[in-house]
Amino acid sequence: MKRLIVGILIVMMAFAVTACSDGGGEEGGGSEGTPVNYDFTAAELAGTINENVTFNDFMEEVDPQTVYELYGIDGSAISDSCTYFSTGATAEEISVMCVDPENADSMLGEINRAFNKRIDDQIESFTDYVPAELDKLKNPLIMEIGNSVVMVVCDDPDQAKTAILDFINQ
Amino acid sequence: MLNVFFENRFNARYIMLVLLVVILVFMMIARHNGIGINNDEEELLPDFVMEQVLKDGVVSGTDEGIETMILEWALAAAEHPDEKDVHRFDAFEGALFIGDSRTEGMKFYSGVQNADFFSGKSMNVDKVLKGATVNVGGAETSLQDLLKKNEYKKVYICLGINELGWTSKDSFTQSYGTLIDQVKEAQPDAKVFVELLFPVSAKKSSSDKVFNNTNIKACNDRLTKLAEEKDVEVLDPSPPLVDTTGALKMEATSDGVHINSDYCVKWAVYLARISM
Repeated sequence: MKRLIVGILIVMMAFAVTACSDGGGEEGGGSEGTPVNYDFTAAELAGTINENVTFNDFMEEVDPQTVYELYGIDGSAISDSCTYFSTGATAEEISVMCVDPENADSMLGEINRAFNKRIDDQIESFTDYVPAELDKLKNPLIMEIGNSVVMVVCDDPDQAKTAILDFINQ
Repeated sequence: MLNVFFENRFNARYIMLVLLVVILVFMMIARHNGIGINNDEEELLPDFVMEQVLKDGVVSGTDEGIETMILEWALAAAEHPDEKDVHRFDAFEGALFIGDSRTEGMKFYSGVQNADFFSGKSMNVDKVLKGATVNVGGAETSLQDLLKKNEYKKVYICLGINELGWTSKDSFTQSYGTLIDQVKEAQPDAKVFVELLFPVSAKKSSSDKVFNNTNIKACNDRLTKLAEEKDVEVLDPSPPLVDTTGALKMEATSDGVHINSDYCVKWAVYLARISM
């Protein structure tokens, strides 16, 4: 009897593992045919960027609702998000917003617009405040990855782009 | 009879279990009420006693003993914030914070979600008085409109750091006074607090001609005097944020002025307790 139960559990676990890895699947688009993995959470991608990109300030995660209000985004249309702000000493910022596939057509453009407006607002705030931060704000990284949009404000946007591509191509 | 009772192994185990549960429940109650967690806290009165003392209005400015006790109680809570304490920001229910980028840090990182924040980078009293708008709850609004639209129980004013470089100190004091008047007029039932500026780090202080602790102390002295004239309360948020020399702790900041999330929590917890 015990063996039977153990056998059933092993089969169930095998099914569960298969089901999990099927979620995002592999999609084309990686360089030289490298499979691209879009199966990530916003926190995983934002965390990877935070770990692999050089930031001068403390980067701290902010409550999503506060971010939606600040960015002017309808939070109910966002399936997953993760945002890091600096302490206010710098304009450094990381934001990853994901939407469900059925909302992608309308929402990805909306998020792009919100990110660009956020950059404009920050430029206005930092112009008289810490003008040295304007270099970062005038050269932000904003890119779409599958059903997500990522924004990174940092010294070296190329470093951020490499970190993102490494993450989705791994 | 008792011997027979205890000879039964089942009964003995049952009694041990009940005793264990009683001890655990007692420990949980003691922990919840802040009794005897560590040596630092043992001399403090438990939270529920302090909260009752504050609620009953027993505290007065003349009773230095009780006031000191409240400050120590608030400091102990700020130094070891209890994230599971869902009531730790109850004091901010119906509150409005008016401030600059440092207050914006509190909005983003402290976990205070039951208050409104009228705050923004480079905000100063003149900008506020001239109708500058910021994003409050998803809508761009001026302070004047916000005060008309909502009814607040408490209003915390935390401005002054961006005005340190102003050549006319009288102009700052005058504008700050006008702001207090506007708030009091629009919110006659609200308790208005003037929050003193917390210091910058020693490194920043020794290297900056404007943002240094000598200027901050002078500004705080002016604010304290102004608050007396306007009959509003003064709050000093610095105790949980500063080192033994009175400067902002190095570990709390990257630029010597703004504080990270851990210290935003300490700031908010302390402020909540000293303004109950």
